[in-house]
Amino acid sequence: MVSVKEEYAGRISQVVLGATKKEGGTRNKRLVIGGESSPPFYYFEGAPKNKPAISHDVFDMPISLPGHVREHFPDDVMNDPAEWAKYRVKKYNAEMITLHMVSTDPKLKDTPVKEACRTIEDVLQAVKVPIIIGGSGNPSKDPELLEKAAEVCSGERVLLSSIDPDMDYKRVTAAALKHGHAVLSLIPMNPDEMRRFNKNLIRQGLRREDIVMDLFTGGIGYGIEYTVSAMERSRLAGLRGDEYLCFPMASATSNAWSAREAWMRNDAWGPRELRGPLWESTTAEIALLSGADLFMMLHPRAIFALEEVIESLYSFQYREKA
Amino acid sequence: MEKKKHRITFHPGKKAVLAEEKDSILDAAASCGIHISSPCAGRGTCGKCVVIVSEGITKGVKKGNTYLACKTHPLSDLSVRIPDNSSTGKYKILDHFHEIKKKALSGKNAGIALDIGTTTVAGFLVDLKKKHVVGTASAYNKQVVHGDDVLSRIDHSRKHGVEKLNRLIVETINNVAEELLEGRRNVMVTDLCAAGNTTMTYLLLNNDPSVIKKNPVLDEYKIPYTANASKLGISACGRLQTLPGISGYVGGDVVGDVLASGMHKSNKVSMLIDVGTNGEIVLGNREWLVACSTSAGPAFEGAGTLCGMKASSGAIDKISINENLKAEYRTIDDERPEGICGSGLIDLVAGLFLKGVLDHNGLFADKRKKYVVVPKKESGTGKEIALTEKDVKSIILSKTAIYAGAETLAKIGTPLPELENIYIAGAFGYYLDIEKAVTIGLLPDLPRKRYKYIGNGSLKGALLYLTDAKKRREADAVAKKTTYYELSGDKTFSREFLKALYLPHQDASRFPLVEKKLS
Amino acid sequence: MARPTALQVYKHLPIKNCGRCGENTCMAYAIKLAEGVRKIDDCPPLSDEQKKKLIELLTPAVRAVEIGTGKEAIKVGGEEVSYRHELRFFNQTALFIEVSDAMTGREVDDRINYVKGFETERLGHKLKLDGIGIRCVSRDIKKYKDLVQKTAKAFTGPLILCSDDMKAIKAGVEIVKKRRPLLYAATPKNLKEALNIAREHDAPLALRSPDMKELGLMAKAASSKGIEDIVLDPIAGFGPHLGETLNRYAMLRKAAVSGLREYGHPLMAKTFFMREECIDKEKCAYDESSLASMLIDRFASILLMHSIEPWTILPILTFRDGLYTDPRIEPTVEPKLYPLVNAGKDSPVILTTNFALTYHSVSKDLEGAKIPSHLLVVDTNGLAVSVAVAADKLTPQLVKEALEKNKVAGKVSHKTLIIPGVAGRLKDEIRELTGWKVIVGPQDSSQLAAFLKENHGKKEA
Repeated sequence: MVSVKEEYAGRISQVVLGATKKEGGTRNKRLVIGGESSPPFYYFEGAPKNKPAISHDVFDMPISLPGHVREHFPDDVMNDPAEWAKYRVKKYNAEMITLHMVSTDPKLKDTPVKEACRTIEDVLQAVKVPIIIGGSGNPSKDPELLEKAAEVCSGERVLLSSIDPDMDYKRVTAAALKHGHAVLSLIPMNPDEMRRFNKNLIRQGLRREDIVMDLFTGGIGYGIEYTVSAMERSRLAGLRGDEYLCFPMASATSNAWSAREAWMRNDAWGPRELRGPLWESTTAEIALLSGADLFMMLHPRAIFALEEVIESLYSFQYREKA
Repeated sequence: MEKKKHRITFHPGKKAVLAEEKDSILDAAASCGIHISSPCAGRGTCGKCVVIVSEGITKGVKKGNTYLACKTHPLSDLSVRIPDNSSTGKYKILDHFHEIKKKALSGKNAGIALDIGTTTVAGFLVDLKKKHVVGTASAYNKQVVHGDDVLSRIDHSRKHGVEKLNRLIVETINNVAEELLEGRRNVMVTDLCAAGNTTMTYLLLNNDPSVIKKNPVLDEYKIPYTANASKLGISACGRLQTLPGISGYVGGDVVGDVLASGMHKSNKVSMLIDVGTNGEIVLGNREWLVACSTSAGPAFEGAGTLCGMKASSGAIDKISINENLKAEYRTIDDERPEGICGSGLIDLVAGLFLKGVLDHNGLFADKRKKYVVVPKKESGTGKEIALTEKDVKSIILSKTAIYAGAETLAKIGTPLPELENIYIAGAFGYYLDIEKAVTIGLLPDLPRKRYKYIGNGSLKGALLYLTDAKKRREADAVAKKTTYYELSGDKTFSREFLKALYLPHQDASRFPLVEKKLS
Repeated sequence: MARPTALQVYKHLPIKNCGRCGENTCMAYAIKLAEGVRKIDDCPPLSDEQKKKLIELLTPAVRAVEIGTGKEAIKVGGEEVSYRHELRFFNQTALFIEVSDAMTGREVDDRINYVKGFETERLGHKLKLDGIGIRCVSRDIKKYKDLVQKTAKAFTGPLILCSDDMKAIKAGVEIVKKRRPLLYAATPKNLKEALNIAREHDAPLALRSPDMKELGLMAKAASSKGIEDIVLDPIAGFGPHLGETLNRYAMLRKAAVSGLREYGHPLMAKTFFMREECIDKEKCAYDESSLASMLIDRFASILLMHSIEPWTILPILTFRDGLYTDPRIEPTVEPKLYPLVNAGKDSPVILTTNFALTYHSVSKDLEGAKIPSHLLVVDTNGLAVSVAVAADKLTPQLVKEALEKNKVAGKVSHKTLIIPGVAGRLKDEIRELTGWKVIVGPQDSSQLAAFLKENHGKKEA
């Protein structure tokens, strides 16, 4: 059976998220993702390197969430991102927090960047886990927001989420370089475009250890198979030596919640209290098998399920038989 | 630190360019539009790119009293003379048909070989006794007003009858014949041979082409037809033969291409690409042949773009973009420019892409509306000649269809890198810069020496069919045994098509040499 | 071994161009044969030697096996690649639900009815479970026979007979031999007997062992007896066994794709374990569903499952459906105006994006409710509505251009545009830019029917 082993010329870069005192930050722990030199859980071709990290979603303003998600967080906690982050770390053992600055969207609250930065500071103070700073997705506002956020978080090595060719990304990469952060490049479903964009990022001076890629995660029934193929293609290319696709991959698994099967009440489909988290954790597990190194997730039960799976997968030691 | 620049002046022509020590004389010449022959693509192995350095200091490879331009670099200002032998573009057509000087006929009888293209009709006047060409002429196919492509012409004939379109093609042929016979007295055309795609052939013979739309494959498409020329209205007495086709969408013109290329006689597998409106591709060897039609569109034949024109007098057929991002061009017959023909368009898009004026989506990187090739005052039409994004889109669509077709056929069993030769046929110019064609993603990134440009293969095929009985039999056999491959609805083709809609391709790793040039 | 090219097939043909196969040339036939559109038997002049070579050439890396008979028969395997993007996956994983002779009659009835009745719809087609696995747990042959009898009567679809006791398998297959059931399973201990039963009844046989080498040897033994319709079960597990499981299935698929013929068989998995191991029923069901989805992703061609809770089956069916689609087909539709259900001048105009899933979902809802409407699909590079709005790819400018390009104003008598609820915040800007009245529709297109019945024709809210 050894004869079917493939040798891989390339290697996925390792990205560190979070900086402890030693590195100049104030986080209690730092997480390392990536570093793979064989396909996900093809143990016969190589042992997996770093455990994927799971980041818990926190929003900077109350947003509409299905009842069976909301019930896991007290109302007052959801009104305060710092409290919410604290709650997730304390109650659910979050090893990482994603702070989604959705209120800065000009079409929502258009929160000024200055104010947004105060929120970010609050969260930095409230919890000592590595942080992902998520913009609102508005290409005109996000560059400024992420640039200022980089400043506010200087030294903490956050992940700035996300950049793409349709915004002034150079502002963000410059800030990332200046303040020692990593960036998330988001190019949905297109490894060729992703490759082209990452090449640009390297040209801007980012190191391979500073880039995480997101090829977009569609939930089960809402594009997961495109995610599978985009991620598998990218991962294989990186392992086979492609210099611009050899980065760890992120999965915004909470996208699974846009599936009506996750949030809708429907007796014929069974209780949504179980159906919802299962929809998210299944999406996560498929992304995991496709090479995801970093997960951004919402429901505590889904996160717990994924944690269990990761735990068992990383405790297995493969011994090659003669 | 500024790198020192040296001024290299080329003779004849007195064109000058600034070059660094790292630039070879070959590259420096190319950057100002001077093409020095280099079949080995600058590797220093063929010895063809010899130049004379009459003034200045160089470091490089000498060959006798001359230097190899590809391996010689300036150390000071230079004066370089390019001998005649070296300046012939390596991609000129194999035989200099376009330089055919009008010759006298040896007798009173003549033959006419025709390429009945969807967009352009070209003809040879043939000395039947000596079996050689004594004159050439071409004209736009008058049917063009009723549709760019075969499908629209089939629809037209269905709605309005065949006669109208038949009359128009006959008129066009007569115009070509008239031009061929200009100045020749008492000449009788007794033999005509026409190579056209199946729809054109049917319309010429006054047959209803709507059967083609309903039946892509039929035995009747593979039959060579003979008709009485004057009965059809052609100003000639004698017979008209049409080359047999392969299918409804791959006609006698492609059989002519195959005949002219000789690929049907080789043991090794080659590919033939007809870069025209229908973009037919043939893959195979003496044992088997497969053909398809990619429906590329008329961009390479000069139609479908604002600045495009057919390859005739006044057409810009060569362009290079200098370091000031200005276009340097030459025209056919050195006439004042009236438009850009296919080869010029390929040069233009490639040049703009390499210089970063166009991005890989075919859009202007600086958001300009157009790129002016020839300003009003230099133009032969009184209007400026400019390239718009819409034009680039048409060109990209055409090249995408062809490239995707080539990749799809290759899946039948011969991967592109294993091909012996790739023959390029087309009526879009007198030469094709393979390098530029690869740069825009029209042709795959393969060793350049495998590419063989055969010019208007259909016309040459028609000539062979007209004058050589053995070739006639070969052509009939080719038509019969070639398998037609339907691309529309083919999943591989759709997939390849979407991926190729970029310069040069969405997957940059398929064009490593172009990738390198861009870095 | 990846699919042969047309040329590789062509080299084994008589090359007479005789036309007896119905194609014009041998190459045309070779192309179709390589695609699987024609059969080897279609070419009369083929010699036995050539036929043999062609069969070998055209057998996929993972052989196809048929279970069941008639219209309800299913085909599993027939795969060529480890990664979907290299080509595609061909025959979707067959999903079987177990019944056992330790269950009450009622439980068995419920399960049989569940397999027959449970379905969900996706992109215009129905997703269902495939068959029933009948297990002998009691070690009572008579009890088992009764169960087989009962199930076979109530259910006409594909069956698996499960027991580690060949006596039970034998007894079961006597009852349903005409149904071509899968016999589960042979182990190194009972291999000989199992092969005999399989051959006697021409039934596909499962081979079960946690050891790859042993599986290969068993498969070779089967092959030497002329039995090729086999499936391999390397024994799946969850929890601490998950890593080992994924490793085995990956190794086996890779071995098959590399051309090791003894491994070129469909893979099977049982996703549930001893009943006694299950303390928290909910968690067991949850975990089983996760395992099933992961095994579908990782090469399993047959699953035998226990849980019949709808919430556990739904993600499995949905994921399977998506994974087995052809990736060569782009996930977008052409951005233009789509008239649905004979839309006319008075029909509403509804905005959506060109992500294929979005388009199909919305158009299905409209067509299902038989509402004549114009669906204005805009080009958001294939992003779904919520994503496109978030990524600022669905913009008022884009909507304006789409309205103009498709000349919508000239096609309808009104000037009202209904936009997805999720894009509600673009309402004012769209109205200002286009001059059209804008109504914010429901958050989900499933509510469109009700919404339109209520609102169409009304003034802007």
